[in-house]
Amino acid sequence: MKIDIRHIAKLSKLSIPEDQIERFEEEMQAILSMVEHLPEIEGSAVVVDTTNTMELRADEVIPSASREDMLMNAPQVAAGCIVMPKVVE
Amino acid sequence: MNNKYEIVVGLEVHAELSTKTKIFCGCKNEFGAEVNTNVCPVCMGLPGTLPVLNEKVVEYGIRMGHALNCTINRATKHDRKNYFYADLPKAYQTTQDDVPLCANGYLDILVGDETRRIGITRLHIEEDTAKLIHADEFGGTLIDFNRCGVPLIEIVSEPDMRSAEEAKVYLETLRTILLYLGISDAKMQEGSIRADVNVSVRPVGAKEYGVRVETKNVSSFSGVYNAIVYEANRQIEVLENGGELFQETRRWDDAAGKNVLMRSKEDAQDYRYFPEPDLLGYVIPEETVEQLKAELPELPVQKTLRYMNECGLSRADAETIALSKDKAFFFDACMATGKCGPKLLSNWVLGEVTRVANERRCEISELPLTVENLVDMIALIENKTISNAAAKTVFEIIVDKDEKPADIVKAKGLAQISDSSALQTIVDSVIAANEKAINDYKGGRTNVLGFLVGQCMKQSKGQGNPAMFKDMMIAAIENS
Repeated sequence: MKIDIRHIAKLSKLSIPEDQIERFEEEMQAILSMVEHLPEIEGSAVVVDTTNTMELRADEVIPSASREDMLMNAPQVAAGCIVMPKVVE
Repeated sequence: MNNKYEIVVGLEVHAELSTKTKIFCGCKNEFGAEVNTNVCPVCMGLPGTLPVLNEKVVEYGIRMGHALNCTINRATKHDRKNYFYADLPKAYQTTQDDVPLCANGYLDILVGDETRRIGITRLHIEEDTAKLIHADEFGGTLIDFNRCGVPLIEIVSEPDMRSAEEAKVYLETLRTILLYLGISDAKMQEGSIRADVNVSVRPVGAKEYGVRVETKNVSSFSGVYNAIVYEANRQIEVLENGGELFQETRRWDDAAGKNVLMRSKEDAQDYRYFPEPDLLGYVIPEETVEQLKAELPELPVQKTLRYMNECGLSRADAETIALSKDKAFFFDACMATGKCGPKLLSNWVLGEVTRVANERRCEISELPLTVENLVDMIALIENKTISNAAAKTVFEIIVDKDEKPADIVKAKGLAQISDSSALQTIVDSVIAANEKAINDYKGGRTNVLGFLVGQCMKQSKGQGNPAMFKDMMIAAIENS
């Protein structure tokens, strides 16, 4: 797989100086070649491990946390909501 | 619409499930609660918390999967879809990627006089996002996490629809099924169903698909219709002007009736799906899958076809009843008594019964009217004991009081008069009082007959047999 550092940087909202691009490309290519071997490990092709499964939860209400507690760490709160810089996607 | 092109449509429909609690925590799943009151560390994505999957979400997903004739993947799992936006504080959505709960199904829909089979690629379960409220007075965007973690099913269709009309019918049919199964409130105005619409166009007869454009944020039936028409026309215009189409995502603006570019393919999100390490896989017992299949009710399209083929109802009447769970259940309950025929029953259910329910803004099932009393009353019309006019008087009573129609007829003297000498007296007096109408009739304007019979019915206080009045009136005029 070819690594396109400029595209990845754009998606991750990172600015990478032009003179660094080649270095990142080499390094990430090396990481990728290592990761590409993972599927060869025995058992890794199993998509769902049916020998180790989880219990599901009954659909029963558990009282929610208090709003004050939940919003305590927010840098800005207004009208019972967390406020963040205006974004429209 | 330019008829050189064929429209190809696929829909991704999200429906909120009406479970008591959210998908991964025990917070209440309710619409319209005070902001940020149904929240906890799990659904706010705080570090160190672990999700626990709600079994009801899996059950509801399988019910819908059966309704859409899907294969149920009994061994399934969840995955992370990574993206960075404030509506999901974890910076990923817990969803399903390569092993959806249900796959490879289809839904038959009725479009015009045709049954169209729309392929269902997959159905998976996932969490809804928080609601962002863009409020300038607070100098930013407010986040309400009540909706964050509300369970969703996403239903992805094959690109099998060929018009905006088909897509609208498909969505309406899906909505009715959700209501029949009782797994979603399916209120589009509250956002409990939302659709992403994929549209491409190709020259008529072409085998290859054209370039596909996704329109997001469509949340009404008319919106789906308009968004498809708008996008198809936009694409055709580009092609007709020698332009090139690009795979891109656009946002539907319902108020403006148009879409705007959201992101091009170059900026397409890379969601980096990977298996959710916080949840193990799970296996659904075969008995559960089979039991849920056995519990599947008769669905709206099957009902419509049964009403047409077995009850002899018109397509319009059959569909109007079948597309409303309330009307259909009431109609079926009446039919199950075997006391009256389907045609007159459907007239009453769609007519007076629906009118009263609409006036009172309630469901038919919430009216004091009982199935027994309605069918008894209709049976009295069918065996000619009472006329339609007299039945209205009976109906006004039984709609509110549990009284036997036969008793009401007796007490109020509503029984139809079929004694010809009594009717003849009335016919004679109507003829005497309406010389002009009689002359009109003789002069060829036979449509005054309805008026004359109406006068007879009026004089008999609705108790005369209208068919007998009609025959006697014609005989009397022609013999005069």
